[in-house]
Amino acid sequence: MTPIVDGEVYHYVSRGLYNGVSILWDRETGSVWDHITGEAMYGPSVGHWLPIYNLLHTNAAAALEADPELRIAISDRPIRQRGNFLDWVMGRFTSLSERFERTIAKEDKRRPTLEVGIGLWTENVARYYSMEDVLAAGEAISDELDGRRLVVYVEPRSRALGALYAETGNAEWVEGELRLDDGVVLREGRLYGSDGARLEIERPLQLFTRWYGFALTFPGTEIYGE
Amino acid sequence: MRDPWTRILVGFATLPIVMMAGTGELLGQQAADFDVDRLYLTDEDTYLPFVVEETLPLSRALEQGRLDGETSVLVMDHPEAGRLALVADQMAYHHVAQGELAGEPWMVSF
Repeated sequence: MTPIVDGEVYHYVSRGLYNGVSILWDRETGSVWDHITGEAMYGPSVGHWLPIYNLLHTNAAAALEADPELRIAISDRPIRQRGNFLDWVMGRFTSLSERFERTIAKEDKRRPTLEVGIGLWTENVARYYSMEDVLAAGEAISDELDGRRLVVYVEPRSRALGALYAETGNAEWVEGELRLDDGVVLREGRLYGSDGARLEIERPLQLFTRWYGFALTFPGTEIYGE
Repeated sequence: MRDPWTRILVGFATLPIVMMAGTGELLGQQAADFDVDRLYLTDEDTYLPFVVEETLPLSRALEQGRLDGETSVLVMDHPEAGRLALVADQMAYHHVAQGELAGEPWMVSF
Protein backbone atom coordinates (compact mmCIF):
# COMPACT_ATOMS: atom_id res chain seq x y z
CA MET A 1 0.00 0.00 0.00
CA THR A 2 0.96 3.61 -0.28
CA PRO A 3 0.34 5.20 3.15
CA ILE A 4 -0.40 8.71 1.90
CA VAL A 5 -3.68 10.48 2.63
CA ASP A 6 -4.26 13.94 1.24
CA GLY A 7 -0.53 14.34 0.68
CA GLU A 8 0.44 13.33 4.21
CA VAL A 9 2.20 10.11 5.22
CA TYR A 10 0.10 8.27 7.78
CA HIS A 11 1.58 5.73 10.18
CA TYR A 12 -0.22 2.45 10.71
CA VAL A 13 -0.40 -0.24 13.33
CA SER A 14 -2.45 -3.41 13.69
CA ARG A 15 -4.79 -2.77 16.61
CA GLY A 16 -7.63 -5.20 16.53
CA LEU A 17 -10.07 -7.28 14.53
CA TYR A 18 -13.11 -6.91 12.34
CA ASN A 19 -14.79 -9.71 10.42
CA GLY A 20 -12.22 -12.03 11.94
CA VAL A 21 -9.25 -10.35 10.29
CA SER A 22 -6.84 -7.78 11.62
CA ILE A 23 -7.52 -4.12 11.02
CA LEU A 24 -5.21 -1.19 10.54
CA TRP A 25 -5.36 1.89 12.72
CA ASP A 26 -3.61 5.13 11.85
CA ARG A 27 -1.84 7.25 14.44
CA GLU A 28 -2.74 10.53 12.72
CA THR A 29 -6.56 10.34 12.88
CA GLY A 30 -7.35 7.15 14.80
CA SER A 31 -9.31 5.77 11.87
CA VAL A 32 -9.81 2.07 11.24
CA TRP A 33 -8.76 0.73 7.84
CA ASP A 34 -9.39 -2.53 6.00
CA HIS A 35 -5.99 -4.14 5.64
CA ILE A 36 -6.95 -5.96 2.43
CA THR A 37 -8.83 -3.37 0.40
CA GLY A 38 -7.16 -0.28 1.85
CA GLU A 39 -10.49 1.38 2.62
CA ALA A 40 -10.96 3.61 5.68
CA MET A 41 -13.86 1.84 7.38
CA TYR A 42 -14.45 3.93 10.48
CA GLY A 43 -13.37 7.30 11.77
CA PRO A 44 -12.42 10.66 10.29
CA SER A 45 -10.70 9.14 7.27
CA VAL A 46 -13.81 7.44 5.91
CA GLY A 47 -14.01 8.18 2.20
CA HIS A 48 -10.30 7.58 1.68
CA TRP A 49 -8.68 4.50 0.18
CA LEU A 50 -5.02 3.62 0.17
CA PRO A 51 -3.67 2.43 -3.17
CA ILE A 52 -3.04 -1.28 -2.87
CA TYR A 53 -0.60 -3.58 -4.62
CA ASN A 54 0.20 -7.24 -4.46
CA LEU A 55 2.12 -8.86 -1.67
CA LEU A 56 3.29 -12.24 -2.89
CA HIS A 57 3.88 -15.22 -0.62
CA THR A 58 6.86 -17.38 -1.42
CA ASN A 59 10.07 -18.52 0.21
CA ALA A 60 13.55 -17.03 0.21
CA ALA A 61 14.99 -19.48 -2.35
CA ALA A 62 12.17 -18.93 -4.83
CA ALA A 63 12.24 -15.17 -4.33
CA LEU A 64 15.95 -15.06 -5.04
CA GLU A 65 15.54 -17.21 -8.14
CA ALA A 66 12.91 -14.85 -9.49
CA ASP A 67 14.92 -11.74 -8.66
CA PRO A 68 18.63 -12.12 -7.79
CA GLU A 69 18.82 -8.40 -6.92
CA LEU A 70 15.96 -8.54 -4.42
CA ARG A 71 16.58 -6.89 -1.07
CA ILE A 72 15.09 -7.89 2.27
CA ALA A 73 14.28 -6.13 5.53
CA ILE A 74 14.79 -8.24 8.66
CA SER A 75 13.49 -7.07 12.01
CA ASP A 76 14.81 -7.95 15.46
CA ARG A 77 12.10 -10.57 16.01
CA PRO A 78 13.16 -14.23 16.06
CA ILE A 79 12.45 -16.28 12.95
CA ARG A 80 10.72 -19.45 14.10
CA GLN A 81 9.34 -20.80 10.84
CA ARG A 82 11.28 -23.34 8.86
CA GLY A 83 10.13 -25.81 6.24
CA ASN A 84 7.08 -25.92 4.03
CA PHE A 85 5.06 -22.73 3.85
CA LEU A 86 1.69 -24.43 3.63
CA ASP A 87 2.37 -26.65 6.63
CA TRP A 88 3.30 -23.53 8.53
CA VAL A 89 0.14 -21.71 7.48
CA MET A 90 -2.07 -24.68 8.31
CA GLY A 91 -0.47 -25.20 11.68
CA ARG A 92 -0.87 -21.65 12.93
CA PHE A 93 -4.61 -21.80 13.54
CA THR A 94 -6.86 -24.82 13.74
CA SER A 95 -10.01 -22.91 14.70
CA LEU A 96 -11.21 -19.36 15.17
CA SER A 97 -11.10 -18.20 18.77
CA GLU A 98 -14.10 -16.59 20.42
CA ARG A 99 -12.43 -13.20 20.11
CA PHE A 100 -12.34 -13.60 16.33
CA GLU A 101 -15.87 -14.98 16.13
CA ARG A 102 -17.32 -12.04 18.08
CA THR A 103 -16.29 -9.72 15.25
CA ILE A 104 -18.12 -11.75 12.60
CA ALA A 105 -21.84 -11.19 11.92
CA LYS A 106 -22.52 -14.08 9.58
CA GLU A 107 -19.93 -16.37 8.17
CA ASP A 108 -20.11 -17.58 4.58
CA LYS A 109 -20.30 -21.34 5.01
CA ARG A 110 -19.97 -22.38 1.39
CA ARG A 111 -16.41 -23.51 2.09
CA PRO A 112 -14.68 -24.66 5.31
CA THR A 113 -13.82 -21.68 7.50
CA LEU A 114 -10.06 -22.17 7.62
CA GLU A 115 -9.57 -23.63 4.16
CA VAL A 116 -6.52 -22.25 2.40
CA GLY A 117 -6.88 -20.77 -1.06
CA ILE A 118 -6.25 -17.71 -3.14
CA GLY A 119 -8.69 -14.89 -3.72
CA LEU A 120 -8.50 -12.70 -6.81
CA TRP A 121 -10.42 -9.53 -7.43
CA THR A 122 -10.97 -6.70 -9.89
CA GLU A 123 -13.32 -3.75 -9.95
CA ASN A 124 -16.11 -6.07 -11.06
CA VAL A 125 -15.62 -9.50 -9.63
CA ALA A 126 -13.98 -11.49 -6.85
CA ARG A 127 -13.23 -15.19 -7.15
CA TYR A 128 -11.79 -17.72 -4.73
CA TYR A 129 -9.77 -20.79 -5.70
CA SER A 130 -9.19 -23.42 -3.02
CA MET A 131 -5.78 -25.03 -2.70
CA GLU A 132 -7.55 -28.36 -2.96
CA ASP A 133 -9.00 -27.50 -6.37
CA VAL A 134 -5.70 -26.18 -7.71
CA LEU A 135 -3.88 -29.30 -6.55
CA ALA A 136 -6.56 -31.51 -8.10
CA ALA A 137 -6.17 -29.70 -11.41
CA GLY A 138 -2.48 -30.59 -11.60
CA GLU A 139 -1.35 -27.54 -9.60
CA ALA A 140 -2.41 -25.08 -12.31
CA ILE A 141 -5.76 -23.76 -13.48
CA SER A 142 -6.32 -21.74 -16.64
CA ASP A 143 -9.31 -19.47 -16.24
CA GLU A 144 -10.84 -16.15 -17.19
CA LEU A 145 -11.54 -13.34 -14.72
CA ASP A 146 -13.40 -10.20 -15.71
CA GLY A 147 -12.62 -10.73 -19.38
CA ARG A 148 -8.92 -11.55 -19.00
CA ARG A 149 -7.25 -14.93 -19.18
CA LEU A 150 -5.13 -15.92 -16.22
CA VAL A 151 -3.44 -18.86 -14.56
CA VAL A 152 -3.68 -19.84 -10.90
CA TYR A 153 -0.85 -22.11 -9.83
CA VAL A 154 1.06 -23.65 -6.97
CA GLU A 155 4.51 -22.13 -6.76
CA PRO A 156 6.69 -25.26 -6.69
CA ARG A 157 9.34 -24.23 -4.18
CA SER A 158 7.22 -22.48 -1.59
CA ARG A 159 3.96 -24.39 -2.27
CA ALA A 160 2.10 -21.08 -2.03
CA LEU A 161 -0.61 -20.14 -4.53
CA GLY A 162 -0.07 -17.40 -7.08
CA ALA A 163 -1.85 -16.02 -10.13
CA LEU A 164 -0.75 -14.19 -13.24
CA TYR A 165 -2.41 -12.88 -16.34
CA ALA A 166 -1.63 -14.88 -19.48
CA GLU A 167 -3.43 -15.23 -22.79
CA THR A 168 -3.60 -18.97 -22.59
CA GLY A 169 -6.22 -21.65 -22.60
CA ASN A 170 -3.92 -24.19 -21.09
CA ALA A 171 -1.46 -24.43 -18.22
CA GLU A 172 0.48 -27.53 -17.35
CA TRP A 173 3.46 -28.25 -15.12
CA VAL A 174 6.10 -30.23 -16.99
CA GLU A 175 9.53 -30.90 -15.51
CA GLY A 176 9.34 -28.02 -13.09
CA GLU A 177 8.12 -25.39 -15.50
CA LEU A 178 4.61 -24.14 -16.11
CA ARG A 179 3.91 -24.42 -19.80
CA LEU A 180 1.30 -22.16 -21.35
CA ASP A 181 0.07 -21.74 -24.92
CA ASP A 182 2.39 -20.48 -27.66
CA GLY A 183 5.53 -21.72 -25.93
CA VAL A 184 5.32 -19.32 -23.00
CA VAL A 185 6.74 -20.81 -19.79
CA LEU A 186 7.04 -19.84 -16.15
CA ARG A 187 10.35 -21.12 -14.87
CA GLU A 188 11.96 -20.36 -11.51
CA GLY A 189 9.54 -17.51 -10.98
CA ARG A 190 10.30 -15.87 -14.32
CA LEU A 191 8.13 -15.79 -17.42
CA TYR A 192 9.66 -16.44 -20.84
CA GLY A 193 8.26 -16.17 -24.35
CA SER A 194 8.66 -18.82 -27.02
CA ASP A 195 11.81 -17.02 -28.23
CA GLY A 196 13.36 -17.30 -24.77
CA ALA A 197 13.03 -13.59 -24.05
CA ARG A 198 11.96 -12.70 -20.56
CA LEU A 199 8.44 -11.29 -20.24
CA GLU A 200 7.05 -8.95 -17.64
CA ILE A 201 4.67 -10.70 -15.25
CA GLU A 202 1.35 -8.97 -14.76
CA ARG A 203 -0.78 -10.16 -11.90
CA PRO A 204 -4.36 -9.62 -10.78
CA LEU A 205 -4.87 -8.39 -7.23
CA GLN A 206 -4.58 -11.50 -5.12
CA LEU A 207 -4.52 -12.75 -1.58
CA PHE A 208 -3.24 -16.12 -0.39
CA THR A 209 -5.68 -16.56 2.42
CA ARG A 210 -8.09 -18.49 4.55
CA TRP A 211 -11.57 -18.78 3.04
CA TYR A 212 -13.46 -16.96 5.78
CA GLY A 213 -11.40 -13.78 5.58
CA PHE A 214 -11.71 -13.45 1.83
CA ALA A 215 -15.43 -14.28 1.84
CA LEU A 216 -16.16 -11.71 4.54
CA THR A 217 -14.12 -9.05 2.80
CA PHE A 218 -15.72 -9.75 -0.57
CA PRO A 219 -19.30 -10.76 0.23
CA GLY A 220 -20.81 -13.07 -2.36
CA THR A 221 -17.44 -13.84 -3.92
CA GLU A 222 -17.51 -16.36 -6.73
CA ILE A 223 -15.93 -19.74 -6.05
CA TYR A 224 -14.02 -21.46 -8.81
CA GLY A 225 -15.80 -24.60 -9.94
CA GLU A 226 -19.15 -23.75 -8.35
CA MET B 1 -24.83 4.52 18.87
CA ARG B 2 -21.46 4.82 20.48
CA ASP B 3 -20.07 8.08 19.18
CA PRO B 4 -20.46 10.81 16.56
CA TRP B 5 -18.60 8.82 13.88
CA THR B 6 -21.28 6.17 13.97
CA ARG B 7 -24.04 8.73 13.54
CA ILE B 8 -22.21 10.22 10.58
CA LEU B 9 -21.69 6.83 8.99
CA VAL B 10 -25.32 5.78 9.31
CA GLY B 11 -26.38 8.70 7.19
CA PHE B 12 -23.49 8.49 4.82
CA ALA B 13 -24.57 7.23 1.42
CA THR B 14 -21.40 5.66 0.10
CA LEU B 15 -21.61 4.41 -3.45
CA PRO B 16 -21.52 0.64 -3.66
CA ILE B 17 -18.29 0.86 -5.58
CA VAL B 18 -15.71 3.34 -4.43
CA MET B 19 -12.86 4.73 -6.46
CA MET B 20 -9.51 3.50 -5.20
CA ALA B 21 -6.56 5.65 -6.17
CA GLY B 22 -4.12 3.98 -8.47
CA THR B 23 -6.09 0.83 -9.08
CA GLY B 24 -9.54 1.90 -10.28
CA GLU B 25 -12.80 0.85 -8.74
CA LEU B 26 -12.61 -2.22 -6.59
CA LEU B 27 -14.92 -4.57 -4.79
CA GLY B 28 -14.85 -5.22 -1.10
CA GLN B 29 -16.66 -4.48 2.10
CA GLN B 30 -17.70 -0.87 2.38
CA ALA B 31 -17.47 1.68 5.18
CA ALA B 32 -21.23 2.28 4.91
CA ASP B 33 -21.84 -1.27 6.12
CA PHE B 34 -19.38 -1.06 8.99
CA ASP B 35 -20.82 -2.30 12.28
CA VAL B 36 -18.86 -0.69 15.08
CA ASP B 37 -20.38 -3.09 17.62
CA ARG B 38 -18.33 -5.85 16.04
CA LEU B 39 -15.08 -3.92 16.07
CA TYR B 40 -12.45 -5.19 18.48
CA LEU B 41 -10.03 -2.31 18.94
CA THR B 42 -7.24 -2.30 21.50
CA ASP B 43 -6.35 0.85 23.43
CA GLU B 44 -2.64 0.31 22.98
CA ASP B 45 -0.40 -1.19 20.35
CA THR B 46 -0.62 -4.95 20.69
CA TYR B 47 1.97 -5.55 18.03
CA LEU B 48 4.72 -3.11 17.28
CA PRO B 49 4.95 -2.27 13.59
CA PHE B 50 8.25 -2.90 11.85
CA VAL B 51 9.75 0.48 11.03
CA VAL B 52 12.10 -0.35 8.20
CA GLU B 53 15.23 1.76 8.18
CA GLU B 54 17.65 -0.56 6.43
CA THR B 55 17.60 -3.37 3.93
CA LEU B 56 20.21 -5.78 2.61
CA PRO B 57 20.48 -8.05 -0.41
CA LEU B 58 18.53 -11.26 0.11
CA SER B 59 21.51 -13.18 -1.28
CA ARG B 60 23.73 -11.79 1.48
CA ALA B 61 21.17 -12.54 4.18
CA LEU B 62 21.12 -16.15 2.99
CA GLU B 63 24.92 -16.34 2.89
CA GLN B 64 25.06 -15.01 6.44
CA GLY B 65 22.56 -17.62 7.59
CA ARG B 66 20.11 -15.03 8.83
CA LEU B 67 17.41 -17.08 7.16
CA ASP B 68 17.38 -20.15 4.96
CA GLY B 69 15.95 -20.90 1.55
CA GLU B 70 12.82 -22.44 2.99
CA THR B 71 12.01 -19.40 5.12
CA SER B 72 8.71 -17.90 4.02
CA VAL B 73 8.92 -14.38 2.74
CA LEU B 74 6.46 -11.81 1.49
CA VAL B 75 7.51 -9.85 -1.55
CA MET B 76 6.14 -6.35 -1.90
CA ASP B 77 5.88 -5.11 -5.47
CA HIS B 78 5.23 -1.39 -5.27
CA PRO B 79 5.19 0.61 -8.51
CA GLU B 80 7.19 3.52 -7.09
CA ALA B 81 9.04 2.12 -4.08
CA GLY B 82 10.02 -1.10 -5.85
CA ARG B 83 10.34 -4.63 -4.60
CA LEU B 84 11.25 -5.69 -1.09
CA ALA B 85 11.09 -8.99 0.79
CA LEU B 86 9.96 -9.32 4.38
CA VAL B 87 10.09 -12.41 6.61
CA ALA B 88 6.57 -13.82 6.90
CA ASP B 89 7.09 -15.11 10.43
CA GLN B 90 8.26 -11.72 11.64
CA MET B 91 5.33 -10.06 9.88
CA ALA B 92 2.95 -12.45 11.65
CA TYR B 93 4.01 -10.55 14.78
CA HIS B 94 4.38 -7.01 13.46
CA HIS B 95 1.40 -7.21 11.07
CA VAL B 96 2.57 -3.89 9.64
CA ALA B 97 5.86 -2.81 8.09
CA GLN B 98 6.40 0.70 6.88
CA GLY B 99 9.23 2.70 5.44
CA GLU B 100 10.51 4.58 2.46
CA LEU B 101 12.35 3.24 -0.58
CA ALA B 102 13.65 5.32 -3.46
CA GLY B 103 12.07 8.28 -1.69
CA GLU B 104 8.63 6.69 -1.84
CA PRO B 105 6.63 5.82 1.28
CA TRP B 106 5.27 2.28 1.41
CA MET B 107 3.41 0.12 3.87
CA VAL B 108 2.72 -3.60 4.04
CA SER B 109 0.05 -5.24 6.17
CA PHE B 110 -0.17 -8.96 6.87
